[in-house]
Amino acid sequence: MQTLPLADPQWFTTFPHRVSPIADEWLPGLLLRCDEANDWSSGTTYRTLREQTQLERLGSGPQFMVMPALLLEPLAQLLLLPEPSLLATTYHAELARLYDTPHPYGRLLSPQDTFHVCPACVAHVRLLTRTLVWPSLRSCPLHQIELRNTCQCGAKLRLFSGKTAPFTCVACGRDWGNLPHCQISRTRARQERQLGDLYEYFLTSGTPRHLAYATEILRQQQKEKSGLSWRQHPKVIPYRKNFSLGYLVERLVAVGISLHDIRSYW
Amino acid sequence: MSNPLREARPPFVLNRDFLVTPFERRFQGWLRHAWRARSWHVIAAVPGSGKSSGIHDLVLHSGAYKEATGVTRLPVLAIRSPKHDPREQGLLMALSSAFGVLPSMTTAARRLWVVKMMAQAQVECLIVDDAQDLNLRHLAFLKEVTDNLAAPPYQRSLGLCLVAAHGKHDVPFREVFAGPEILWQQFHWRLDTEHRYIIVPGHTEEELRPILATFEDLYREHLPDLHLSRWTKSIFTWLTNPILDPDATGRVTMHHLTRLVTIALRRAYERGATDVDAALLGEVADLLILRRDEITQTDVVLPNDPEPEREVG
Repeated sequence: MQTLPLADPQWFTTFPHRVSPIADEWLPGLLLRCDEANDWSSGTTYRTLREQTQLERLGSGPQFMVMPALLLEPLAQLLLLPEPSLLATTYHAELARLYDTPHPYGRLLSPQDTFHVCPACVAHVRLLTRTLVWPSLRSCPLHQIELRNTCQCGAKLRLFSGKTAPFTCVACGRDWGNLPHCQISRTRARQERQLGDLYEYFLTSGTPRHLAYATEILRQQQKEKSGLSWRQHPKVIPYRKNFSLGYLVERLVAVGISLHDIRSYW
Repeated sequence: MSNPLREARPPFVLNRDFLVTPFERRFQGWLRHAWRARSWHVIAAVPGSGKSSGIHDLVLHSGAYKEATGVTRLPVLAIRSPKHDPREQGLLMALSSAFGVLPSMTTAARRLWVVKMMAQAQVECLIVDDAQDLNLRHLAFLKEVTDNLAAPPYQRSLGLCLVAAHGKHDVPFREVFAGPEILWQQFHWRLDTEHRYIIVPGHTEEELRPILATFEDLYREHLPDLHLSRWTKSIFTWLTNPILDPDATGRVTMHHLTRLVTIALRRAYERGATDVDAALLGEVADLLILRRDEITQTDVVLPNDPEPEREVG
């Protein structure tokens, strides 16, 4: 990444300390690392961006599964980073490809708005990975430990607390990296791996056709299993234009369809 | 009658390069000394000497950078005195803005942040330009910032240069720091023992010659036969006239020299000449000395925005 000398006029249009994304880093993690590097309280970078772009309608906590379009340009300028590297901190490009739309939105990945962290990732490199937004995932694919959404003091973890230091509990100030590192059971690990494999596959190389095939396989499998007609089956997947990827993957895993099973169809 | 050579020529372009003149060598020498020795000085020179340009050049070459890894280095932090804000917040804003874009912060938070950031960016020397405009509140705040940096956990000593314009052979702050108040005594103690107050003089006649030779090189493309240095004595005499040198320093400032030379060169160029002569230089000297307050009354609309004349050096 580019070193910025003081002779460059962009010195005065960038933050005092610049940060750049780590591999597979999630956008809010980058914003928090920017807060930390600049010795600001949690959420200051985000607040500054919102003030600059007058993006009040984003609310206090958008899901950041895709890049809010109006944030991209000012953030690229304030950190002096190429826009593609910032886009890569969300699933913007992946969802655009998967759903064949130039303007993807977060609910295509998940309608849920959960926030949890891997204490080990935070402790090691202050990293919030993009995989944290994979719905139904309860453990870190890298460290095989439970993701945490509450502090030991009982307070819910908040992404941008506003007053405390970045990566700390809003109530007690505990560093997220110091939360317990709890291993998950083997059964759970296997299930999580299945989820992870499917997300990984769809997000790295999936297309709308792949999504349609997977949906069809799921319908077929459920129908055969129940022995009922489409009309009689109460839980049959409805014919809708778009399912969120999270919904689809969760259902596939729930009925025991693995990546291997669906790959053979294409 | 139109001059064919004049019509064929492209417009005259002012050269904006920074010149390392003898004044700049002296002035930057003291700034570097303060930086290296972490010493405190009040450095004064007459207006138009090239203090601001010298500070700008030093800062640009001080090795400051921002890495995308979160590392920022700003060894020399230079600000201009906040003359329009007499509160200490004015100075606080000037200090913090030197780092780049900042979020809105309370004054209390910004005070802490600035000290922390100066330590993180490894600031080694603080230069305040136009320091003659600093008031007592600003000076007290400067002391607070430097004291906080010197104390744990940072323990960083800082060079400090209060760069001021002076006149009448005296240096700003000398009387203030000699005052009986504890604050000023503390300030006085922190100033360098040997060289507290420094006056950096302008150029002597001997020093003028190589500067004029440099101008010849810079404008050779416009005026191929330019031989300015032969007029060194005349130029020195004009520019040390009491009107331009009211304190009778017997030295020439870069501002006056650049004015005289560039106006003369532009006029010569526009007249289709390839060199300047004594008559033209004298005409411009008259403009600077005798006709300096003349009012121009005109209905003429200038064809293009002319390049603003700016001091070199």
